[in-house]
Parts: sequence; structure tokens; C-alpha cells
Amino acid sequence: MGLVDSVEMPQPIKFVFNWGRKYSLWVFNFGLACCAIEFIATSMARHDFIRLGVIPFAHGPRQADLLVVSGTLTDKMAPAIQRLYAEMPEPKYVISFGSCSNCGGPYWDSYSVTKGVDQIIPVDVYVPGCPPRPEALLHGIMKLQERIGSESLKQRYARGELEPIVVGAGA
Amino acid sequence: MASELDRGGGAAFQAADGTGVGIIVRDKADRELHTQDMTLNVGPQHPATHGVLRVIVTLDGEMIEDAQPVIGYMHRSFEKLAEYRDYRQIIALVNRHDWVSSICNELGVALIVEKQMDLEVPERATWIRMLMAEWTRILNHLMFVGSYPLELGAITPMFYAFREREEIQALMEWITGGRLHLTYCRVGGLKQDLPRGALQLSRSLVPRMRERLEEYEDLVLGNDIFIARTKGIGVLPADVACSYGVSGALLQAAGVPEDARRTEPYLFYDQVDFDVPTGRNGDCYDRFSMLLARMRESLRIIEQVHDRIPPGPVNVRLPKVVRAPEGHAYVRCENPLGQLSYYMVSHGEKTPWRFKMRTPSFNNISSLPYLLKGTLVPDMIAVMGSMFFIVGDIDR
Amino acid sequence: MRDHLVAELSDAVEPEVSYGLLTVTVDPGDWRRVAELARHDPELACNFFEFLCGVDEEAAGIGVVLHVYSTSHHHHLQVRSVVPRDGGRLPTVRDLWAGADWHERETWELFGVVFDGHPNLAKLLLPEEFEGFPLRKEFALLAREAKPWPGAKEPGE
Repeated sequence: MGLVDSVEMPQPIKFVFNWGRKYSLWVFNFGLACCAIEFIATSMARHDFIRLGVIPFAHGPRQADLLVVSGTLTDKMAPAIQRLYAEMPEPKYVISFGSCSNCGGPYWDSYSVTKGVDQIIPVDVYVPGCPPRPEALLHGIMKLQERIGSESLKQRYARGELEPIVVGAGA
Repeated sequence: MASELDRGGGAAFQAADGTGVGIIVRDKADRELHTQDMTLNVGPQHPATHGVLRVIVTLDGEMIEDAQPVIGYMHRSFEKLAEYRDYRQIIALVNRHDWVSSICNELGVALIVEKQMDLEVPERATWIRMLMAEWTRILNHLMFVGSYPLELGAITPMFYAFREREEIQALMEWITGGRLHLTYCRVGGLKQDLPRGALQLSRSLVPRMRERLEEYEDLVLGNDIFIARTKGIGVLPADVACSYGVSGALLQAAGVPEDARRTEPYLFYDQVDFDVPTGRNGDCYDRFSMLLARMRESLRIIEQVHDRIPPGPVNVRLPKVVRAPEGHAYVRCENPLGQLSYYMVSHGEKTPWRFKMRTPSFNNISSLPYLLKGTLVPDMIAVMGSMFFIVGDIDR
Repeated sequence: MRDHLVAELSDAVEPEVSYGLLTVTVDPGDWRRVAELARHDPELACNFFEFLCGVDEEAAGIGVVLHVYSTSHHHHLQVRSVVPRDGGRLPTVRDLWAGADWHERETWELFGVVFDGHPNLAKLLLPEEFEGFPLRKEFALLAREAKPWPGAKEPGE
């Protein structure tokens, strides 16, 4: 990465880079369970997220910027998601969609469910709900885009801890 | 035109214009070229598998020798969780295993507890349950009408199917407040009555859905590419299907008119008029056309139910703690994906002792090794898609 | 159907009808015989495989329930047997109904009942490293043990 993570970029260049990145998010559809149906419904004609610049047909993790984890993560599936996350090139963002991937959800006491995808990968936006409405996903994407628009990559790669966004949590 | 020269185990042919010689190998042992079977791992994350199903196929060139599905990537232990939840919580839990047909899952739980407790459900509640169950069946089939052509390369039906789904989900939201997981049934009836205007909306949706069904038939079933990719592929004969326990549209496509709504009517299915469609060959084309036929029958049932909903209460007054008496009971429902049965053993407490969910997709997918043996790799996607499964239903 | 079964098998079975469902309880030794009768007998003709599951019967052992259906006669039959908790074994019915393959695997991994003659009794739903038989009653759910769940109160408590 070199220059990007060692030098604080001047504002105009940062603005242009961030603008480019936030409006061309290629999303890797990691649909696991019921929330995947709402994810697909969000990409369809009624609540279209393609108009936000989020393009749902990334051909694989190698060509994706955004990972939307929708659905329950089980212990059997956890190594797969870690691998897929590792295959994504930086800068990458993760939206945890639905209460199963936020915290285990209705299966909080199950012996085979990972209580939240944030135990495996770092998450940028949490969208709560079971399943969340498509509008909630659109809200989450817009909040993520605001965050991307104002972020500095140096801070991100220096692992400056950024608080994850929770959609619908107060003002 | 080729002339065939028989040469022992293999046959050599020469093209009529004298160019090139090819060898048709009949027996693997005759090959001079040493080959090895390849093991290909499909999934668990793959755009064509509906969710996290992994299939390990052993390939001989393009031909599948053996296919072993590996399931369990969505195992959320519903049966163990049900032992710690009381009956109302189980209804909320259980509409998440087959996540595109929520009411049909809940119905079974409500029915089995009512059976054990010998509860009399008000008539209005039963008719409304039927209405919701049939709309849910249409919702479910629409999902597959959209995604199956998508796997075969046709992107358009997906958008149309989801347009329909949004309209029906708007009706569901008006009635119950939820889009996907409704939690509308309760032990002894329903959560709440139909709001004003819901029946009118439902009535107006029926002719629109009928038109759209005609559109789907034109768009998909008449398409040459679709026919070429699905006719004759993945034939599942009736006796094999019964032995595996395959049910629903897949069994009906094989020619067996087995439908729980007809053979063991629950709710008031014996008071409405509908047919059980059957296919002839049991191939992928038949299974897909079964979906459209079943949707048509569901629309017929919905129309009849509209006129038969009587006024009255929608639930009974339950004791503060709902306990099912000791014993074991079994209830069988026709889920859109197939036959869903619940077997419950109760020890008289407020949580069940054992709650077995016999889900349709578990048995349907267990027939995959039989179906995929001997097919080609491109047909594998056509066959797997035509099994109409939901992974949560397989793994529970 | 109940009388036919009793006539064929006399005291090997204890039939019971509960909420319209016929269940016959047999010894593990007669499991195979009853299953074959259910499959091949023309009056029973149970060709459709519904499910095979386990039920934890605590001190008595682990009950195994096989449920089959006949598409021609439209009747259900449930065959039940109780095996000891440690080392319980039953013969497989995989050759009679192909669907029993996965159901027996699942019963083995969730309850610990071994099915003799099954070629591939490997883990189906659980990850490879999982230890224990989860659906047995002594397998506790850790999340519930760690802290009592606040939602456990009835309305009004």
C-alpha cells in the first residue's frame, strides 16, 4: 500500500478518492439465510440499491469491496467466511445484516451457531432486525457511504479504532 | 458421414472427407490415455446453490460419477432449541427454517398443539389461516420461478417474480405487520383479526396474479433454451422418489398425486375445490411446470376462501400457561416445498420433551446422489436448482 | 391395520393408537423383521419414507422412531424401539427405504445410536470437531447455563 497508509493525503485528493470508492461498491453477496431473501429484495426493482452505486454482481471475493453478511453464521461455516474475507482486497467494508450475524439472534443458545459474525471478522455497520426491512439496508449503505466519504485511509490502516455504525441506534 | 471400423474394445471412425481419425472409447479400460477422476468442490458459497449447500462431485471429464452433498452449514439446532421454548416461542422460532414460507411452518406447530390439547379453533381463524397459507405458497413458488431460470441464465424472470412478491408481501404486511417472518398463528387461532381493507386487497390481487402466471408461462416455459436445458434432465422415477421420501412438487412431477391437503385434509381443505396436478416424466421441466400449476390451484383456493370467511372471533382464551398433555402426536402439512411433518412428544410441561421436524428439503436433497450420477456438469446446476430446496429446511 | 400387524407378529409388538396414529413398540431384535413387513407386506405397503428419529427416554434408554407411509393405502405406521443409552445398536433399514440413509446418520450423530450395516455413519449436520451427542438431555446449552434468560418470565410475573 505504501503511500496511502503512511502519508495523510491532502483534502482534495482524499475527497476524490473517497468519492470514487463510496459510489462504486461492489458487493459480494454472502447470503446465508433468511436475510439473504431481504437482501435480494433490496437489489430488485422496488428498493433498488444499484442506484446507490452498490453493484451486486461481484464475481467473487477477489473483485469485491463490500461484504454483506446476511444470515446465521454457524461454526461449520465460520472458516469459510474467514477465508472469503481474507481473499478480499483492501480497502474492504463489512455490513452485518440481520440479528443472526450481529449477535447470534434468535439462536443465541444454540450449540452450533457463532454468536455474531464480529467474532470472526471486523464489522463496519450493524443493521438490526429479523429480518431488517430493505429500507434499513439502504440506510445502512448510505451511512457506510457517509463514513467512507469522510475517512482517511491512513487512519484506517493504522487500525485506528473506528466505532462501528449501528443503524437505528438513537440520533 | 463417418464410417465405423470396429477395433476390438474401442471403435475408430474416419470423417468422410478423410480428415482426422477419432477413437470412440467404449470401455474405460481400453484407454491408452491414463485418466484420473477429478474431485470438484461446489460450494458452500456459490452463486448457483441456494445458500450454503456443498456438493463434492467426482468427475470423469464432464460426466459426474458421484455426488455427495455436504450439509450442516446452516444447522441451527431447531430441535434442541424447541425443547427450551414454550409453544408460543416455538411458533416464532419455527417460521425460520423454511424461510420463504413462514405461515405454513407455523401452522403445523399450532395444529399439533391444538390436537394434543383438543382445542376447538374458531371457524374464522381456520379460514383466514387457509387464506394466508395459500398466499404463502404462492410467495414461495414465486421465489423459485424467479431463481431457477436465473441459474439457467435467464435473468428477467427474477425481476418479475420479485415484483409479484413485493405486492403479496405488501398484503402480508398489512395483515400481520411482517414481511418475511410473520408469526401470525397462535395456539388456538390467530394473533389478530384481518384489518379493514385486507380482503379487498386480496381479492384484487388474484386476477393480477393470474395474468402474471400467463406471462411466466409464455416467458419461461415456451423458451427453447429452457426446454433444451430441462427436458429429459434429472428424471426421478416415482418409486425411487417414494423410497427417498421426496415430496411436494417433485413427487407430483414424478406422477404421484400425493398432497396432504387432499389425502389427509387439515383446516378446511376438504371443503374447497382444487386439483392436484401431476407431471408425466419427472424431469426438471415437469418440476418447474408443477410450480406454475400449483400456483394456479392456490389462486383457485384463495378465491373460494374469500367468500367463505364467517364473522366471529379469531382466537380462543388460553390459560396463562399453555401446557400440552402427556403423549405424542403427529401432524402432517403440505408445505410449499413438500411434506412437512411435526412429531412432538410431551411430558405435560410447558415446553415439549422432543420436537421432531421432518422437513421436506432434507429428504429431497438426500436423493441428489441418485439424480446427479451420470449427468453432465452443466446439467448439475439445472438438476440442483430444480430440487427447489431451502438450506435452512435441510439443516434446520 | 392394527389387527393385521398383531396377527402377523403376535407378541413381538405392542400397538398403541395415539391421536389417530398407530405406533408399534418392538424390541431391538425385531426391528428389522417389522420394518421388512411394513415395506413388503401387500396390506401395509409402506413405500414412502417419512422420518427416523431418536427420542431421549432418560432412564429407559434412547427411543428410535421410524415413521413410514403408504401412498397406495394412505395410512401411516410408526415403529418404535428403545435401545440402551450406552452402546445402543439397531440394524439399518437403508436397503428398504433409501431415505433412511441420512436419517440414520443424523440420529447417530445427535443421539449416539449406532446402525449396523450402514456403510457411512459419518457426521452429517455437525462440524467434524464437534464432541458429544447434542440432543441427549444431559447435553446442556452453555448459553443458558451461564446466565438465566430474562425472557423466561410469564406475562404478569
